[in-house]
Amino acid sequence: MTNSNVFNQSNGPLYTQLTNTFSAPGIESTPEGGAAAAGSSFALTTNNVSVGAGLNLLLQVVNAAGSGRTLYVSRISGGTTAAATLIVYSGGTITGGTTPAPVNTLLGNTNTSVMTTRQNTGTLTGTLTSLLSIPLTAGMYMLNLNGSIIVPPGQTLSISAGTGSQTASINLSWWEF
Amino acid sequence: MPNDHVFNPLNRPVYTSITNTFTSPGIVAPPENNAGSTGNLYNAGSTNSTTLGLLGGSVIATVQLTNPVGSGKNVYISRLSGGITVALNLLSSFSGTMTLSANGTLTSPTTLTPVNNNLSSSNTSIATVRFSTAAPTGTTTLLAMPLQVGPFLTNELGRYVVPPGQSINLSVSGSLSVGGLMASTSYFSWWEA
Repeated sequence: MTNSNVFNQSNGPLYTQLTNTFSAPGIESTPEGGAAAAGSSFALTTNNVSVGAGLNLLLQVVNAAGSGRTLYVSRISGGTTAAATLIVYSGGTITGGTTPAPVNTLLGNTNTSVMTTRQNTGTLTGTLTSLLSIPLTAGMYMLNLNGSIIVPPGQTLSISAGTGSQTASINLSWWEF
Repeated sequence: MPNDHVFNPLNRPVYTSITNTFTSPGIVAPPENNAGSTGNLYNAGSTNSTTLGLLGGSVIATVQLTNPVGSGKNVYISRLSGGITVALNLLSSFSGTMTLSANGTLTSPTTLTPVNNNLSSSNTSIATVRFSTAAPTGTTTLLAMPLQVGPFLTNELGRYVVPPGQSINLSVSGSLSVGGLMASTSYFSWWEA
């Protein structure tokens, strides 16, 4: 008769104690670090853009229905040259503009993102829900979201920084699988 | 008859519950900690300090980290840092940017020697580090933002990986529309494995 599995019950876990100390710490990395090493981490930038009076810098990623992957937002960063408001939305429509290409942060890796993008200056339209609204002063901003905003297939994430007139940028960093 | 594997079948993991408390926490650390203690964490960068003439101009500090073909290791970016300094009375005529980019070419580069963050380690970096007072050309932008005067520091924890045959650039640019003394600084910190 073979042995049963002795410890394998989720409601009867094996009690353990980490004995690592400062002189021999356990080494842990982040989802960002693991995703980058696996070629699943992407960077998208608007570059520094001149934004006209009354307009916002807009950046959007669309995860198409049926893409088979989910986007986890790692970081939103950038800067402005005057006071502004940074707003992160679920949904929204950007008309016209450009489609900046996400870059794999494992440099030279040929895995491409399944997300589509759009960038323009103006005002976001369509159906949207505000997730986050942050006042900015002139200078850089950096929001480490660590995967706390999730964009499954069929969903859209839009980011707005403004209003002008000023120079602004939005950088979106994510992993997807 | 041999025993089955009692522990660790992949589909039947051992469920564990950590009993550490605040009085005896388990200590974990990021990869930098171990890379530093084993002498695999490096740092390199420099400052471009320039006196601009009456009409102003730009002061640029670009550091390029290249992982040579055949190095046998990857470069993992740990931290970006740097900044811009200028006299406060010149702020109204100031603009600044920071750009992180991949590959491309430097103009009139000089060579920087990477410093091992473990001060007693004799390990040398496999990376080639170059510095230029011009912006790199032919790059793919990863990150761009306007900067105000002052320092910046971002912890990347391996978010950017530079395999052999690839380069990464950090370029800090400050501009004045009037004359003045301005300095731009760019530094990379990275580990190699």
